[in-house]
Amino acid sequence: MFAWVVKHLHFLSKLPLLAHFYNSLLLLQSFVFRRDKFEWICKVEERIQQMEGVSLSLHSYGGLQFNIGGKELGHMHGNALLDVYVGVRHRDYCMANFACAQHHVLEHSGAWVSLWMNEERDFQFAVALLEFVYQQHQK
Amino acid sequence: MKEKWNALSNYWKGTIYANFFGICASVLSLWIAKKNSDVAGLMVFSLFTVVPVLIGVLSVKYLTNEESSTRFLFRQVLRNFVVILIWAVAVLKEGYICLLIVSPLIIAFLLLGAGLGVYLYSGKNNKARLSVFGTLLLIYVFDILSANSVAYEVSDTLIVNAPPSKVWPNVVAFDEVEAPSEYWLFDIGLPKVVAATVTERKVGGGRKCVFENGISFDEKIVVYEPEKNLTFDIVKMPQDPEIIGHINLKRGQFKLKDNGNGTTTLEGVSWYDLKVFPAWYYNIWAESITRNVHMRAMKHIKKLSER
Repeated sequence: MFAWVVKHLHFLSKLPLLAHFYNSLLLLQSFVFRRDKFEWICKVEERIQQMEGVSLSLHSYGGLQFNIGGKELGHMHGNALLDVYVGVRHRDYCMANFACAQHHVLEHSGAWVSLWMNEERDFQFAVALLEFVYQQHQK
Repeated sequence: MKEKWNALSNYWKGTIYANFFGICASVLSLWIAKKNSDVAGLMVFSLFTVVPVLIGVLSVKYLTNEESSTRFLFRQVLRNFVVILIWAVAVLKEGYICLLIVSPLIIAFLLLGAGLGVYLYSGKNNKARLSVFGTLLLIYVFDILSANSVAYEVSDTLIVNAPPSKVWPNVVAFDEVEAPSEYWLFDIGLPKVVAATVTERKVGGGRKCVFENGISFDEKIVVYEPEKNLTFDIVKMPQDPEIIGHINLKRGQFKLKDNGNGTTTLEGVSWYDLKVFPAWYYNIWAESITRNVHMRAMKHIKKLSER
């Protein structure tokens, strides 16, 4: 469903607040039907908030965006999909070590990866991935 | 008073503050929509969209950064939702099925508002705040001044293995429907159709569509073409909290088509006006309910006719 919406209704994201409303529905769906996903979303957010210099904002396509030094580190949608900017240099490493895939929309960007948190293991990969990317920014 | 206010947690301050404005906006929208429209009980689009967004935004006004994470925002949204539920039951006299239908929409808009509120109240976003509140106000004013009901038509067909002459008497009136429910909303308490009675089998005759709990729709036959067409206007709707003020059933029809092979195509049609908005959302539910009422009655007619 999410993939279909992103592929076919992407143009609607230009309408003010519509993407945020859709993300709210996804978050509500996670809360009602997949409480574990909702918990992972909250825990990832809590972990991010502990990282010094990272600020949070609304992502333009709905979701929570993580920023560092005025640049986007990544964002998380209400269905526990984490999109992270890893850079071209680290993409293959991240895909091999953190069970993530090419970005669900920007498949050929070479710099973004996506991680679906469907089970506890994915959540741990998500935290590890964000910590890795954060450390790269700190270097 | 001020001391009591200061002693409240930031969550409760936000909840009280936001719901005060929310309730005022709701009362105003209901009152103006009623004044400006011929349709009684109109519930405008803003009531289910702009008002929850506004409540969501205002409810996070007092929260600190630490209190604004998804987990806490969700709790704040649920707190606001409970207040809205109490208001809807106590003042608007809504039934629980209506509340079930409207809940996903309200919670999603509350969440949207809360997320937006965190952004608007963090830092000096005065311009953004002004443009968001200005836009919400514009939508709200335009909406309550232009509201009206929207008409819909729902039609279903069923093949009955009997000729029209056998089907027709069961269409005009039928006795107790005993079949178990096949629809989840009936299972949780939405009244099921149980019988249809008629006073006179002619144009102008009175017909009654009886539902559970003694609820009934009073109808008047306007077209009576034996073995072909039975059309009736709904002249009185029941004062049920799940129906009143939201949907206006106007007309019903059963059409019979002889298939020439001993079978009949039975078509059931309903015409109704929706008085709740966004109509596309509520019509998903109204259409589903109407189809299931049609099918329950038509399957019963089929069973009686095929005996």
